[in-house]
Amino acid sequence: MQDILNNTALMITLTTTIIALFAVGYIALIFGANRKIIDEQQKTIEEIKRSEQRYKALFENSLAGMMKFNFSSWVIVDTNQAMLDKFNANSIYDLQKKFTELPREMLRPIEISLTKTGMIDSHEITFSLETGIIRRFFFSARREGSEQLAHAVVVLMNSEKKIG
Amino acid sequence: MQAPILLYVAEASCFLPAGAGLFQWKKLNSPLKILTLFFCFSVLHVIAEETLRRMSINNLFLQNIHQVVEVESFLYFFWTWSKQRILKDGIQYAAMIYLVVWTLNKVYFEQPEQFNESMSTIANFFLIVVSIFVLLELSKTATVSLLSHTIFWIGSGTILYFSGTIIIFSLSNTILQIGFLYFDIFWHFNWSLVIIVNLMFARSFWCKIF
Repeated sequence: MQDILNNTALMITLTTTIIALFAVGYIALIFGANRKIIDEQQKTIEEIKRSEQRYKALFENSLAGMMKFNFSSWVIVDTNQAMLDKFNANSIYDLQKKFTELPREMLRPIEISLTKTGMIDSHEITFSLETGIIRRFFFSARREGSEQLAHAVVVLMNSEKKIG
Repeated sequence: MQAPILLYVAEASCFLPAGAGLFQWKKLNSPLKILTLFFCFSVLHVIAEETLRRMSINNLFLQNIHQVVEVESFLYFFWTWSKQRILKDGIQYAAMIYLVVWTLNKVYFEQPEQFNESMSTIANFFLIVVSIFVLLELSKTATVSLLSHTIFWIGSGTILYFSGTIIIFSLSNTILQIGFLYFDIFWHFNWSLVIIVNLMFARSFWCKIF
């Protein structure tokens, strides 16, 4: 009789231990899986950051003028130093002001082409500096996604002094 | 008979989650406030049980009342947290089924002077299954460490306690028949789990994410 009781107690102990161990194991498994996901996310974030830094350097150090802008309002979202230098602007706001002061007929084809085809290639724009120098540029841009945003690249064609 | 020290420690540990919840009360959302109220109810239950034990009055009927509040509180908490339609429905059905079964059991079958083994088994089973699915959903959706999620501590505590005690609770009367020595040993295991789980529940109130 005592053996049966002992065996019953042993069975209860064993099953309780096994179930409790399963519970601990399950929690550990869930915890481990989450750690793995977080580690992978961390790696992806670091890779994105590195990639962003590489492209940021390419953007910043480019000799061609680059800017991201809204082609219907001509609000400039981002630009590089080469772009500011080309238009003799001190800041992004100064550059934006200079673009809005350009003749409407010069910018209109850019807006139409970006709206219809999503890109414009080597459109010529002329800009006069305060010093009297006239600069001519090739303006190329491509629309970004469904927003009215576009990425533009501006290359200097020539500079000439206005005579008279 | 002198009660074991571990019993007092286990009883004292019940104050931890209730105290933690009340301490953080202003920062808590509605489900956590309800859980805090349940922990406060548990404290009252422990005090009542201890008082009756000292007066040598059978206190097992209190356990049956506490159990239904416990199951419904945890199921409500998990229900508010879950975003999966199927899991939400499952929890809702589990809560309703348990309430109906508990009521029927209370009216027709309950013997207040004995452990209610069948209801304990059903309660433990429901809470284990729901916790498993809740933790599974959490592991799929969490984007930061699980340690900063309240639901991880509550879910882990629930799965740990109810898994560890399901056999003991479902065979309580049998264990008592085997001998008080065995009952004492198994109940020490139960009290140890109570202490661990109450620490986990108390910790959950300091998490940044619900």
